[in-house]
Amino acid sequence: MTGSASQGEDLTLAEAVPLGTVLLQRLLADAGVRSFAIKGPAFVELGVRAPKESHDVDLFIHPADRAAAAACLTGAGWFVLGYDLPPEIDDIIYSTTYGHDMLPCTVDVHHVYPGLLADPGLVFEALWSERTSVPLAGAQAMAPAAEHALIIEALHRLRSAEEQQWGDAAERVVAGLRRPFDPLTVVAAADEVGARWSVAPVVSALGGARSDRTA
Amino acid sequence: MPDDARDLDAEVRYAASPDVAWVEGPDRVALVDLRDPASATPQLCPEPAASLWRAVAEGPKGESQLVALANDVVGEQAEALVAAFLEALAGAGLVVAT
Repeated sequence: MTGSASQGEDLTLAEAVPLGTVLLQRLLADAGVRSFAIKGPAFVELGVRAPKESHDVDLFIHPADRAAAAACLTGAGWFVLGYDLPPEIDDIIYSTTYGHDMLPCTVDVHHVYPGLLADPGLVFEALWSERTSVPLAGAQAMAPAAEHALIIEALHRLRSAEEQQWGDAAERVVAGLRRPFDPLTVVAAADEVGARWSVAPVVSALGGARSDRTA
Repeated sequence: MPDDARDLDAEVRYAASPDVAWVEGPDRVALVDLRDPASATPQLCPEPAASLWRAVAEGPKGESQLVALANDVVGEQAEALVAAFLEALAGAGLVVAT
């Protein structure tokens, strides 16, 4: 009546990403690790990105929970993917990528998000204090508030653009929004996580005043 | 109250477990039991059983309602399909009696 998808290749990405998101959040929560679903279908639900196929699961945890998350995930059969980097450059690592034989997608567990320039622990707590949940795979996934989600989405999109292309990239972010945002509210949310400058092009594209680099 | 309505009221109703995450797939549903996430493995439920899953995920259904639904899909095999569905999914805790 049901068949196991234990080798992962039987699942499509459209199946694996939402199922993996909910499964991993439950796994981490059971271990006492708080996490947000970022990007992917959670952000589609929050109205900050247009529907599109995601290729991986993205989670965001408190930086102090890295070791607990790693122990939890590896204890459940997840394995670390990527290079074995020396501890001397640990400060520049912002996420750890995991894989599992049962899923055709990888999982990026972020403990820092580039462009959120406040203290990483305070960033997580600021996000957590205004968290929300979104329906995902017939369950509920923990996610940042919509304004914080927009900031993370904006940073994701701006990061892959050259500085002279940030205006166009910001316009594309705004064009993909599925709900209205007040630029002043977005600036206030950006201030909470040290991202006023980082997301200034998107605030400008929303019709708000552009901050200068000293803000 | 008509007899058939009373029968329906007395009937055990089945619903998707709140501990199951599931998504639509190509001619199937994919689901995972969240009760023990450390050992959980995604499961694939193909048609025609997938149509029964959607029904119980929508809300509690009696066996007679499931048979009626299955009848539209597999005709005279409906009772056997529902019995196999409930045996497999209720047995695994993916469907629960309400």
